[in-house]
Amino acid sequence: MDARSEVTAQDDAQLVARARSGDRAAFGELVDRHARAARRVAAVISNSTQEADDIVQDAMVKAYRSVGTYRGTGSPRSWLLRIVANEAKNHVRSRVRRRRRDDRQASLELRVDDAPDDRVLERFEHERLAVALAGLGAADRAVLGCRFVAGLSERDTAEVLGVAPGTVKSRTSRALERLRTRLEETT
Amino acid sequence: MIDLADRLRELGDELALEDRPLSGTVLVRLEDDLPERSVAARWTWAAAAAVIALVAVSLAIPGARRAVADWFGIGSVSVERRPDLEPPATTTPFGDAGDATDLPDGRAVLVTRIDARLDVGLARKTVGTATQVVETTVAGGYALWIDGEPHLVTLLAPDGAVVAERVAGNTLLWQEGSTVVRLEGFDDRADAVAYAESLG
Repeated sequence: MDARSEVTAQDDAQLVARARSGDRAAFGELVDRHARAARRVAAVISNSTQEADDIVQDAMVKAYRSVGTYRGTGSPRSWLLRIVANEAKNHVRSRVRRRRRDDRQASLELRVDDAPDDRVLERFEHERLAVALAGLGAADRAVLGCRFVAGLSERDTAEVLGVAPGTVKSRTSRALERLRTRLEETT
Repeated sequence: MIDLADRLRELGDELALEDRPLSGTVLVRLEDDLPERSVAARWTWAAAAAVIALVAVSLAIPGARRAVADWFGIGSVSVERRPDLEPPATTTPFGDAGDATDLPDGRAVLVTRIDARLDVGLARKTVGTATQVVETTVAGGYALWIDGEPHLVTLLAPDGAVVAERVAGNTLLWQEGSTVVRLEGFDDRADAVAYAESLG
């Protein structure tokens, strides 16, 4: 952990302590700090940018209710993101149950962007990558989503997904390999 | 060739995800979900007396009547004019009952004071991307104009609790000392601000 993330983790722990004593504004601060990573984790695991915000909101409400159970073993950030990841997985299950696995909801969409001419190619590459990522299996998406799209460390990814750090390492390289294969297929 | 991991990192910035702060919505949901609603309830009761006064002066304005009904979430209501009605003593610990005033042009306006703080950071989070909440100023201080439709606004109660309140449309909120002042009765923001400034 670098110096900066250590400071952040300490601040987060204070926010969690305040949230536990009923300080909702402190919890709100914690939510905003990690909203960006949370939305990315939710989007990639659920395979839906459209539903990511709802998933994260549901997860944060649950996190506040269970803030008393946070034991401080991992960082507050990975505790929060783990709840988000689980919520996203549950969301996928209920989507399958509801037989609403339609493409409108389940897809990784890009920002609407008036791309200047020199960025058109880049944009096209991002679109290809999003499609390839969305086509991977759930476990591959979860590990790549946490590790790279949300930018988590190996250790945090392990805590969020509830697996050993070594498992993250091996899953990551296999998932990258499968992603590369998919990309080559669509070239 | 760019590393695939780096390309995935870049993809994170390109995904069509919200950028706005999330806490406003989450805090509002916590307020709705949790049984403990004493602070919000106290405000609602304090405001009840004020709303009764508002109803009394705004019966001739169907839009206002509708807004009052909506504010309480009770849909259609029939309201009697009860000028003799005194607010019960238990409704006054949290803000005063409000002053209803008839302007020379026949318009009825209502000013209510609530013991709370319009926290700028918190309020901004609530504002989010909502188009109907406009940040403005009253005599140089931070103010919010709720345009058209009712909207949830987050405030800080004196005990530090975050309170999410549903505020009727066409309402101006600003801070005056330790109270948040709510002005209703204007359709136009500039008119509301001018009136608010004339009060101070």
